[in-house]
Parts: sequence; C-alpha cells; structure tokens
Amino acid sequence: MATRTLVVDNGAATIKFGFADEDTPYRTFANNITRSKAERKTFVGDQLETCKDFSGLYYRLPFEKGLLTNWDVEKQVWDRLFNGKIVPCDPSATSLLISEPILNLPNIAATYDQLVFEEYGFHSYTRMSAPQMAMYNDIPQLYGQKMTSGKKRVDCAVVVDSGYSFTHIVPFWKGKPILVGIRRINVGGKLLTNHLKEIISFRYWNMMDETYLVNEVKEACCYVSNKFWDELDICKKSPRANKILQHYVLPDYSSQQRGYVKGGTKSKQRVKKGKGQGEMDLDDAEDETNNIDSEGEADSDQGGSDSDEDMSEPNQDEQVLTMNNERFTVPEILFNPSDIGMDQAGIPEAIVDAISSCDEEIRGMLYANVVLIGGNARLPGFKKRVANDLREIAPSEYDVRVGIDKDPFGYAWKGAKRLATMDEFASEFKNRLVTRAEYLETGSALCESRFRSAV
Amino acid sequence: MSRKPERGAKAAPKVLDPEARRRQLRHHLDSLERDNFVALNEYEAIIATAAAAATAQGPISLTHTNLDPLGLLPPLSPAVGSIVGGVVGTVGPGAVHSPNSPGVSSGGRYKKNQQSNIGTGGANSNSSNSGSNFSQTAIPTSALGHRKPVLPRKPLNQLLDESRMMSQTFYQEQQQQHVVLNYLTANMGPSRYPQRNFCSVCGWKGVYRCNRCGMRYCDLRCQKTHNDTRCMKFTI
Repeated sequence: MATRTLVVDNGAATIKFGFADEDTPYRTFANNITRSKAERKTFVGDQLETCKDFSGLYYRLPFEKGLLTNWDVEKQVWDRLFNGKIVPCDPSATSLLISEPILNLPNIAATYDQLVFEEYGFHSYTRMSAPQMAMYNDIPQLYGQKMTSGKKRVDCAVVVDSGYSFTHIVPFWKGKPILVGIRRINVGGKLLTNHLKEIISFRYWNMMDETYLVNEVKEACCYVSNKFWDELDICKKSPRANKILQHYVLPDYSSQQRGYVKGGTKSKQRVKKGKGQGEMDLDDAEDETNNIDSEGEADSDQGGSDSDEDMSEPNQDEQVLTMNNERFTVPEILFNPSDIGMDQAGIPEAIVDAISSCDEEIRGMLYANVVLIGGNARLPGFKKRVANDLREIAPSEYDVRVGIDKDPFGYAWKGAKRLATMDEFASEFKNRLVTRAEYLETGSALCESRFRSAV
Repeated sequence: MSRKPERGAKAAPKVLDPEARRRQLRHHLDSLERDNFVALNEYEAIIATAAAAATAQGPISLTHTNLDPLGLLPPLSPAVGSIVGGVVGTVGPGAVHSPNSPGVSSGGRYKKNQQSNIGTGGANSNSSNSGSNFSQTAIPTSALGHRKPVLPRKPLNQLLDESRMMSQTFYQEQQQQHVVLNYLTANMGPSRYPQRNFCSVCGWKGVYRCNRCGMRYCDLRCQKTHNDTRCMKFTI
C-alpha cells in the first residue's frame, strides 16, 4: 500500500504542515483554541482565519512551558488537521513525521505514540525534534558554499532554535545531537510579547488583553539593534532627530483589520481607549510621551515601514501607538535575559557554553557552522547581532560563521521534507519509522529506542 | 504573609526588604510566562476548591453541575492530588463548550470520537486497560452515559516528577552515566556579565533606585511618575 508522508512541525505557537511529495510550500496556522470575546465564538486552530475582530482574543494553548501537556486542546486541533478537513489526509495510508520539543519527557512522548496510533490510526510515524529536522537541509548553502561531494549532510553544526516557548542551542555531530551540549534559555516569543504588553500598558494604552494585537505590533516594529547604547541615546532626542521613533496605527475593526506602521509624526488625536481596567494612570505617561514627541517630522523610518498611506493626511479618528525604545529593547532580552531580572545568559554566551562542553577537536567546526532557525530569527538584524557578539566572546583561534535561511520559520519543515523525499535519506527514513503493527505488538518502548538511536 | 500598606487614614511609608523584592521579581517573571487565558484560571480555582471540599465523600461526578454541561470532566477519585491533577485545567466550559457557538468543534468531535471508538475499538480498550500513563482511573464509556473524556490533563509539575522517577530507574539499570541528561539539566546558567539596569518608566538607563520599592528610574521626571503611579501599589 503506497503511503504518503505528511510532515508536521508541531510548534507551541503555530503548526506547519504539508505533504512531502507535493511541491507546494508548507501551510501554517495557530496551534491553539482561541475565544473571541467580541464575537463570542470559539475558533479551533485554523478557524481563526474566519475571525473578523481580533480584539480581546483569549488563547488556550496546548503547550505549557514548551511541553505538550494539554492533550484535549491539541487533540481538537489535530482532529481538524488529520481528519481531512484541511488537507486530504487518510491516516491509515499516511506516514506521519511530527516534531517534538527537545529533551521531551518520556511520559509525554508515550502519549504522542498513543495518540498517533490508537486515536488516529496512522500507518507509521516518526518523531524528532525541530533542530534535528533542520539538519537535513543543505546547510553549506547558507554560507555560500557547496556541500562536500559525496556527503549528504554536514558533519557537525550548531542549531539555535529560537521559538515561542524558549530558545535551544543544540550542537550536532554526524547528525545526532550532542546531549551534553544542549542548552535552554527560557526566553521565547511568548515572553517577549508579554513583556511588550506590560510596557505598552504602562506607558501608552492598556493592552493587557490584546495578545494577538501586541504580537502583530512586535512583528511589525521590533528589530535587533547592533549599537544598543547609541540607539538608546538617539531615542531621547526630539522627533526631528529621532529616526527610531515609529507610529503604529491600531486597527479599529470596523474599517481595517490590521494595523500598520505610519511614516511620520502627525498631529495625533489621543483618544483614550477607556478599557476601564487601567490600574495604571495613563495621564502621567501620556504627558511624558507628549513632551518627547512634539510636533515635527521624521523623514525616514528605521526598520522599513511599509505604509503607502499618504503622509500628509492626518486621520483624526485613528489611535496611534508610539514605539520608541521598545522597538529594540524588547528583543534585547534574547541577548541579555538579565535585563528583566532572569538569571540566565543570553544567546551568544549560551552558544559558547554549549560548544565548550563538547570535545575540543570539533569545537572549531562547530563555531564555523552556526545555524539560526525559529520564529524569533525573523527579527531584522538578528543574524548580524549574533555573529558580532559571538565573534567577540568566542576564542580567537576559531572562525565564526553564522547562517540563516531566507525563511527561518519553516526551515525545520523544509529539512523534514528533504528527509522524507530525497533518495539519499531514504534508508535512514525507513529505519526511523515505526509502523502501527509494530507498535501494537511492542509498545512505546520500541518507539523510544528507535527514534533515539537512529541517525 | 506579605506586608500590605495599611488602609488606615495614615499609611506608614513602608520599605520593601530584599526578600519581598525577590518575591516580586519572581512573581513578575512568572506572569511573563502566563498564557492569555484569565478566565481559565478562575475556573480552575473554582474546581480546586470544590474538589478539595469533596474529597471525603468519594468519587463525585461533576457532570451534573453547570460547571460541566457537556460532561467532559472525569469523575473525581478520593485522593486530592489526583483530583487536582486530573481535573484542573481540563477544558474550560465557557471557553470551548458554549452551546451557543455555532462553529465549535466539540459537536463534531463527539461524533468523531464515537466513530473512532468503533473503528479502533479493540485498540482503545487495550489502552484503557493497560494502565497507560495519563489516565488515573480507567473510565468506561458506559458508566458515564456519554463520551468518555479523552485524556485527563496532568499539570506540568506532576509530569516532571514522574519522568524524573522514570529516568532514575533507567539510570539504575544502565549505570553508565553519572548525570542523567534531561529537560531540567539543559537549563542555561547565569551570565558572566553584570545586569544592566533600565528605567522602569521610560526605558532609558536606570541609574537611580527608588528607596521604598527598589524599582529603577533615570531622572526626576520619571521618579515623579513612578511615585504617582506605581510605587508600593502592587505589593505581593
């Protein structure tokens, strides 16, 4: 019976999926159940696309601290995915390639097995972590080089996966992760969004309920700065000289659905949102920011604004959110978690720490093959910053090369697709698969041993 | 337990000691990890208190109450731990199972579950009898009269504890590694570099610290804002 392979990157924020034999790119939707207070409806997974009003959205996440604990929610999302509503998927004739968190707990892993085989009845499946999926990609291409002929994959690399729940540093040797070298920083997209929510709620508008909106603001306005203290000084200046200042027009869900970044400072109409829950007194914060950005014109906008709006039209009805130093101090937490009081090192230090715990002979190769994947890697300036900082603290005898794909978000999915389709990996892929018949005979101990030992 | 400002006519100016400041910091960091589902937390509190009150009376099904209109919650077993573990955090009623919402999937799920029960009936009964990890008590469909709850949810701490025990026996069998490498050991340690301080009001360099609560500010204007809005207002 010919089986198709369904590749699923099951992340804490979004789930990326697609069939391996199709050429179409992967599709993605949110991996949670959302409830909209405004519309009083509940959306499972991708039904969120039908939602009109994104204000006051409540999330129900299956992942807790990066591990899948709430199977009720996850099962509902998977029901929609696997039972053919979104893609034509017949579980009994499908091989599933699914991702799990790194260093997953054994009892959670057993539940994965149970659900896949007994609930859905997949023909066979394999499960691996996202960095491992990414290893199957053509990594030398990121540095502008070609793969050494005769080899199908790089000998070693360090994968930095910065996602929603946390950031992992995983060194690889000959395709298998070096367990002693794995490091985890508990800073992820969720923490950045929550932190941004708090800052905005204190300084500008109360947005403690608007996770979805603040997430959009973060993705539109935030960037990673390379000259941190200099840019912080620039933010103190008046708007005429302050090129970092950006205005984000908040959507009112009647005429426009999404907010956008506006080019210059206009005479803004400060309409208080009047949420009524404001524990913070907004008046003082507003007065202060009014003093900073008075009337003036900022010509350019850092970070590439995409607003095609005619800048000379002051729209008096719109609510504008001012983004000043928050634009780069929030992503700074990835590099210095101690900024908010967390007792952990940032990404460059963690990379050095991870590589130092590996054998001395391969350290040089590891430093030369650093790969960045994950949602947070999409921040502008991320790669340059990691490369600079790493070069500063890495030992000087090693070459440091940091590579990032055009689309770090789906890089793991692409790697898994290569594993499932390319002939060079065919035998490896077959060795990893556990079929349903085998599982029903032996149980999940078989899955555990086969997924861990197979390369 | 914590020192709250007195609500008399004269509130004495309190100063937060380092212990209280550390507690606030920990609370703040925990809040940054929270998911955006406030309503759920309240529901969990209701369940937990109801469960704690009901321990002595043996298994109680919450299905009749309006807390659980569609009967998704498993019946409670006598031990409090398993109650809190098994019940807390299962699907919030107002959230997912509002009977009014048209697009909700639970209706469809009901049918699908029945189908999958029929289709993989053998396998399912195997799973419930084999003492799988996640079900505290085997819950037969017939006893409840409606669809069986899929998977009682355990809180993360319980899962971590159990897995540690599991990895302990693994270690004893193997006796190869001195350190068991798992989720907890992979945590990154502290940084070599000192902490950088930022103003809690505007975000610039936070050079000065408030005498009372310890939060940072950069100049007089920010200090005034801090004193008016945030100082000592949110102690824990």
